[in-house]
Amino acid sequence: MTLQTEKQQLTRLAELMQSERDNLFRYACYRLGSAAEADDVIQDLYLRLSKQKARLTEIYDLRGYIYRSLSNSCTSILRSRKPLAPIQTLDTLSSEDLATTDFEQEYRLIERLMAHLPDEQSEVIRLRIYGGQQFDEIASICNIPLTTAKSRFRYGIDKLREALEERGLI
Amino acid sequence: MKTNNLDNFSDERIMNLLTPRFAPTTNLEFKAPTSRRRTLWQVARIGAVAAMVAVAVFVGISGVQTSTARDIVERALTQLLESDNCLVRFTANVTENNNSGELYDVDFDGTPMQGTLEIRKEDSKIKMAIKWQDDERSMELYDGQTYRRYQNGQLVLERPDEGIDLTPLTSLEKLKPYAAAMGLLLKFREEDDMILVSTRGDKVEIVARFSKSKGCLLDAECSGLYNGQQVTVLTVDQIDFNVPPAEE
Repeated sequence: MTLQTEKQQLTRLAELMQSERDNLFRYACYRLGSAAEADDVIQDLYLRLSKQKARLTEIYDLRGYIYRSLSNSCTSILRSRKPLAPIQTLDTLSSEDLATTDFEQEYRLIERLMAHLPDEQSEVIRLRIYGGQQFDEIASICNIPLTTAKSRFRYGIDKLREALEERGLI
Repeated sequence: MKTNNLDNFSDERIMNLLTPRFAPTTNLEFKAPTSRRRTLWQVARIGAVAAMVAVAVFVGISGVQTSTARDIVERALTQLLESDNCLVRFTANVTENNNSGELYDVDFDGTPMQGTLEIRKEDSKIKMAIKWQDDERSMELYDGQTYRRYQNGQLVLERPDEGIDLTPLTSLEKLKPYAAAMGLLLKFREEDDMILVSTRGDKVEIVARFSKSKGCLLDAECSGLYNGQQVTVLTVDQIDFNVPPAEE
């Protein structure tokens, strides 16, 4: 690959990060529960990717790569948090908890709901709702067939519905 | 049918619960780095002392962005813009650079050395000079076109050099998107009379301390993670404005 190609890829990276900024940020916010940390993780990601000039040219789906990398970074951050605060289960969820009034409450609620689901389902839901991705884009990001992306979303929503219905919350 | 309707209604409730209503927003900006000129941030990454000191000073002056600190920033910026020059005394951990770049590299394993950076405005141009307190009384000059190195009063190296682009640092409006475009995050926090401004980059973190009551930058420090520890590689000891030029 020529330097020009690397430069083009860096430009493309910056354009993609800029056009996807709000989606990336919202996704990171609702994974990490902190706007400052979301800012940091996205900046770190951009710096890291910018330095991989040569490797960037080898990435076919840069957009999907950005989201996968962000997801992995968020997972690493969550794992490194000490002490790990246990996420409350849905068993103690009350109707008051559903009426959120700020970001922190909203994040706590969503975190509890997502913790009720298998990782592969919660990830698809997060990418769809917070990352603003279409199902074909989610399929590409997660490297799964389109039908699987849709069914994971469907099963996740079903599972949450059943859980909340059982508890008389909806 | 009833069940389906109920499911649809319940699904809608689930979607409502999951849909963010209080999502924070961000001002991050991403722009591909240009290679036309060396920028402060690019130079800072490769460890040029001059740039690091200048970054510390200018970021410190320009980085406070809260409404409560706005007046301080404006005062400090005005002070800088109205000054003919700015003299920065610093101590840096350095090793000699054997390539044709700057004389010293900032290095975690380096030896502490004192120096003075002078930033001078001349006919709208900004010139920079670093005087090192080494055995050779080294001095490095950047005039925007040429880099010159003097040792023991003798010119020992001269090469074309566009210098360090300080243009983005002349106003808050220019600095903010510029820093963001270079992937640097400006953070600030207030402690008593102090406002602490810090940057986050890939290697070096710069922290500048402001006095609220005096409305000026007090000092700044550059550090980085080395062998698992935060190591200070550069400290700005003193900053003076409008200092008469010294006789050489």
